[in-house]
Amino acid sequence: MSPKWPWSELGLAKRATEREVKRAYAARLKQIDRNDPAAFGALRDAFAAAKNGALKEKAAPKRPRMADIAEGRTGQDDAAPITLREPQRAPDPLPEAPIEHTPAAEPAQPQPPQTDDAGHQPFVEELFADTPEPPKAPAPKPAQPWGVGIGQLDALAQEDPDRAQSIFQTKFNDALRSMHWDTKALDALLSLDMAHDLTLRRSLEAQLYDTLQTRLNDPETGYPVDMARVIETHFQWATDGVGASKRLGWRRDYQLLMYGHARSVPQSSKPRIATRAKDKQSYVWHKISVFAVLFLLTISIQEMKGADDYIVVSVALAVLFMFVRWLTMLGAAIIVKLASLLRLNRPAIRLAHWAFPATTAKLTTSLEFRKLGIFALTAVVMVALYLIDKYA
Amino acid sequence: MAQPIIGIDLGTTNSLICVFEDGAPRLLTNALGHLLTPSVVSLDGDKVLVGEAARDRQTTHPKDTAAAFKRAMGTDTTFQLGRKKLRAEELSSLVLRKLKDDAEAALGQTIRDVVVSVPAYFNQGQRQATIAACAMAGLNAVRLVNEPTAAALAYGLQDRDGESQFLVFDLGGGTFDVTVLEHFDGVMEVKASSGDAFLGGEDFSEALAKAMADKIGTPWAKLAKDAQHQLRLQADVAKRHLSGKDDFEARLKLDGAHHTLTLTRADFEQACAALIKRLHRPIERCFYDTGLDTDALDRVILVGGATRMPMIRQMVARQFKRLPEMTIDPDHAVALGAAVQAALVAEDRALDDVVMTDVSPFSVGIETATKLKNGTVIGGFFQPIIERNTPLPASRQDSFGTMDDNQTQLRVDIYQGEAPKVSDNVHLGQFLLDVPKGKAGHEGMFVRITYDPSGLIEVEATSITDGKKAGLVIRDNVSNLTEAEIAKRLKQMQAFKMHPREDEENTAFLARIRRLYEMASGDDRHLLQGMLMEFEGALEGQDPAEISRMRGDMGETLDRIDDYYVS
Repeated sequence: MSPKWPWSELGLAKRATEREVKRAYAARLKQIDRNDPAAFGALRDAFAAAKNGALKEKAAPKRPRMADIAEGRTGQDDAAPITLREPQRAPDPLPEAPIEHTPAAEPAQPQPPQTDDAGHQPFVEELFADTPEPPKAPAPKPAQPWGVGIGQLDALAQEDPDRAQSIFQTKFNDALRSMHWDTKALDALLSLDMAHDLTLRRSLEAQLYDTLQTRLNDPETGYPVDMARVIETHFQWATDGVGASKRLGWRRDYQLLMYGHARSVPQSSKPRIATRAKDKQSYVWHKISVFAVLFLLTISIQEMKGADDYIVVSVALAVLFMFVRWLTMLGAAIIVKLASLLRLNRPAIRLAHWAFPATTAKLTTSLEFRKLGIFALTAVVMVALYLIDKYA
Repeated sequence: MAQPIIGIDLGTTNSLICVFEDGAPRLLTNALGHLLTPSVVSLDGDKVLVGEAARDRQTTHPKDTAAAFKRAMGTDTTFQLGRKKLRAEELSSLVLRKLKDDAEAALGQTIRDVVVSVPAYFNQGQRQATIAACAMAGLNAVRLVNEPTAAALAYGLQDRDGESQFLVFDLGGGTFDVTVLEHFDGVMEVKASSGDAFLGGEDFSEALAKAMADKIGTPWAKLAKDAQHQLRLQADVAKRHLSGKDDFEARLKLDGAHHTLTLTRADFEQACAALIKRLHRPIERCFYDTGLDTDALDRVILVGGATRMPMIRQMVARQFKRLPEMTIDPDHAVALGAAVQAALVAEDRALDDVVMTDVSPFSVGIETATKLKNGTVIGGFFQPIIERNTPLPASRQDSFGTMDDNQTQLRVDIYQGEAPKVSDNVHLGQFLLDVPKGKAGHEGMFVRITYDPSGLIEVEATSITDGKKAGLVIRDNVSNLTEAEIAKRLKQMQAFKMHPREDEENTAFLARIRRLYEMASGDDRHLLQGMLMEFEGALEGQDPAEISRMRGDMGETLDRIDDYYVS
């Protein structure tokens, strides 16, 4: 039987072990033209497929790690599994002060919904009371799990990782589900050493995302900027959208989420590159053009009536629009209101709706919408002045 | 005689040059006999000083001196040196020229083709600026190598038959890179690279400087620019000392007043807590992209001068649950590896059985738009085609449709980056493709992007129905500047006269005395002034033996004063 892909591509006669696959790949790689994307790509694909389908190697004693050889250790130590605890952690010089929180003073928290009715904490306590080697530390251990401050969790994780983890999860749920997003606690929790475990972190990110998704649709809570900052510090949804979308999957609300917190990304963390200068330039031109429009507008009105007040009003408006960016948003909101109050004809209403789409965040983040807002505003100023003229 | 094979580590704080000969890389010393040349440029009249003399002039002539300009690579920022305004790539080209001169003196051969290392997380614009800097120094950068990959090559060469999975943690003066690699059967395979192009040792110094300002009682923001600068230099010294011991007494002169501060390591760590937090993100990205767990690593290697800080080593040990390695000097590893890469490019026979494959650190893709239900079009979305951490060379294709009925053209805007909105990514180029008229979505194009290890990105769009093609080639080595412009700049840069090499030891020595004079007070000042006059007198006498004897004698005193004022 002739060998099939991917084995044939690697020059192997049949399905092989991972070790053999790697060796074959290395040999092949040295033969092909490594600058040819097609040849290289074909080999890579075969390599990836072959690694996935490789025969399981026998449970041979693990080869000694390079690090151990370098340090003069024998391969023997390796038989022991790598413990979760850190082998060489220097004693922390700082007394672990609780970062914040007064958990002891709080009444018993409502249980997080995902735990069963029996209650999360007591259950965990019980579970670990029965473990064969109870890692109970003698003296300073707090009586209740909720008596542990966030700052103490790392120390606790050294003694009793499972308990620390369950307390961590409870605190995380509380912070996430509290009515006004306890962003400080979230930040402190996510900064802990124990939260840097990669598996745990993925799960925390997913929990955070799901909670946000449900709460975003709730008009009462909205999207707090603080929260966005915490997300950016710890998960970088805005600056690493490609990574985040892979981790979270492409979901419908995803783009919305991006828009919502793009505002909160500190300027310094954005790539400072030459191409950004272009944006700035066009923004200046945009300012100038707005000024010009308003100026022409005032002149034309003057021709009609010759009232100096209009100039003052429109120049003041122009200055405000130019220097206070969010006012354009407010302005757009006013257009919608005015348009509906004055029952203007349909194009005007459509224009206003256009300038003020359902999510206000879009207005501030996209230059297109800013422009639209300005144009709509100009239109409103025109209409308003016209109306004042007519009725006053 | 064959061209020497040269690798250059153009660092934020220090630069090195390395030659590959007789099957192994060897670092070359500068005119002062040191391996490290500080990446600092200073103008002394019409003469250019690079290296230690320039670094000492930071204190005495801050207005004529520029440092840490690598951070401004690829931007339009200019540095004011005396009356001249220079861009980052021009300053870098002066450093490169100095390295070139020193290496040529050491080897007795002219140098033209080099491999220069750049942070893995440098984007296309920053890479182009680096290549332009080489061109302006009269060097031809045949290849750029990613710094952590270079370091891995240096380590890999030590143990050629080894097989291991390892991580390189590279925290330099201005940039941070993490790379996960696998090494087997002579193949050095980069699995993932990530980083932060604006995080490095300089940020830690700055954080400490701010903490020092708070201790003095003047908030950082209220300090004058000059005072901030002086404090930053002092913080840099303090940082070095705090790597060795737990506390440090800083004596500093600020706005004419002398202060004595006791800084502890805990103070320093507290000041840098936010920076440490930022170090975690790239690590997590790397592991997510490779699908590995931290337990799968065999070794963790530290590279870059900033990894000498105990807090960094502690953080690495905690994150990876193992002791990090530093068997090659963290300042040298990248330069050694760059020379190895140069040898690989030159197909040196000593490395016949070594192959290295790298990945693209960024995603490359095009801009797309979507139409909402109410007919509004929102543009500016980034659609990656080659995802980050794809092994290079790579070629990928994706298809895109028209948005409106009877649309006749499609615009292909190519971007590099990870942000979901193109405005936060780096724009690489743009072209238009004609498509036949048709219903929206019925017409479209295939876009194929090909990315090769030398940094060449080729984009080709093909209309789906009539097969018309349009395309664009983006290369590393044609920067924003055209060839003619580079030639013009090269000429301009050559107008800068380097300080004569023979004089360099004396110039550096004088700069050192002047720097200490600035720092010192009371009797020490008199002493230093006397030394300055005596040494200048000896220089006029032009007796080399006398001058070198004096340098030796005075050097000891200077060491003592240096120690007193910074410890």
